Amino acid sequence: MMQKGREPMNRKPNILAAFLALALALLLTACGAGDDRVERFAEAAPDSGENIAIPGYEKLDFVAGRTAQAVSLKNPAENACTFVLTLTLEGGETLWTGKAISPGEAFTRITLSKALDAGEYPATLHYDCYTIEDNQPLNGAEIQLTLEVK
Amino acid sequence: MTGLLYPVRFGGFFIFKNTKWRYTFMKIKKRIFSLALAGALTLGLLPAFSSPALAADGETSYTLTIPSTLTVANSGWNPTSGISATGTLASGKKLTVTASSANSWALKQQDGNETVSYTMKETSDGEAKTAWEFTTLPGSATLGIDVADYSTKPAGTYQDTVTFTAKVENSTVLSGALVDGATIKVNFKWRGSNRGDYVQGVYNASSGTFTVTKGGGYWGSEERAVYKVEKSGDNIIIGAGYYDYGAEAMVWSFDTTNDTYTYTQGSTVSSLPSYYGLISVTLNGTDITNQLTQN
Repeated sequence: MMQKGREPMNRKPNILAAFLALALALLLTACGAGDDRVERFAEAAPDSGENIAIPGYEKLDFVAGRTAQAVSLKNPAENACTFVLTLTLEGGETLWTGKAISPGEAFTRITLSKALDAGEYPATLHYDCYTIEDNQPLNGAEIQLTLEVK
Repeated sequence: MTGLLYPVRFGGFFIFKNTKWRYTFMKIKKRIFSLALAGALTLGLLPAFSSPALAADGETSYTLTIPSTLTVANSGWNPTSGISATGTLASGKKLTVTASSANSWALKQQDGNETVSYTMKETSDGEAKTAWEFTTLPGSATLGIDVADYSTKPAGTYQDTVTFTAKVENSTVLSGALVDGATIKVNFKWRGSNRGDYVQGVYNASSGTFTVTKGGGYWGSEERAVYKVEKSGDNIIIGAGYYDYGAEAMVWSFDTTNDTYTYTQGSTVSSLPSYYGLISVTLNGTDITNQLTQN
């Protein structure tokens, strides 16, 4: 006999399964398995466009054994161009390529093509710059740095 | 529904609830436990994901400002906005910047094969300049391009892409020898005499090679003298020999990352060590011998 307010017994596993599926979906979305994360850190405030400000680093800290890495790779707000960033290891192997980011945007998470073991890796962060209006190539930059993987 | 009152401990307080509430509390408690269990399972799937607070910036960080384009208004000298660097350099560090061209310093016709060569300089009457070194920040350098006469070229769009490469390096004395236009010179004794014999190299940053010359009153005037100044990784190899780098030869390998060097001598030289050997090393005319350490 079913008591008032009590759900049928055969609906409970379904509710739990649905909750787990939803939680897993949210987890994958939040952790962005395979996805980079771009966030806006400032409103775009382009200057004359005569120059390009390129953020440079001596090293980047990564965590060993996983592909998702927290970073702060910015396109300064004063730029009048988009950035396409590529991270390569010494020898030319591409570790990561990002989508184009606008001035005032930054990558806060990137997903590497492979996980790295602990150690130091000479690497290059390539900046390919393009006009915002018609995506024409501008001068670019390469930042030679060291990946410190721990 | 009514029922008997009974005490229930709730958050450290005792409250009195009837049996209906007691059942509801138990049902909620069981449901919360189930959700918590599911949450624990979900959390167990999470990788050890660090927060965005994980440092992405090193001890040294900087911003390099480059010209977005190099506009050509006419043949000859075309000044552009220069390059500059701001930020923080850790102690003992310097920032080196080099420029490279996608088309070997030529503007290439967009819809054809014509090219117009150009040279990057700091001033209109200066030499080619494609490498800079900043030992303190902020730092800056003027820039312009000297474009060859293109009056006979067909009309059209000619373009090139310049890439500026920046690197933070240790600020050593010998690293100055790998700056475009730097001159490193080794003066040495030859067969017991000091007659000013030397080997000298002028560095070309674009090619990564040295233009090498020799001189002096003894070995330096020998037609059979062999000599070299080469970049090998972070080392600069300087050699002087007779016929070859075998028996009567001296080779110095300078490590630009730590101001040390190794000395290799042929069998003839090693048998008469006082007749040969290093007298001094100069960089851009300045004696740096005492700042170097032989390994």
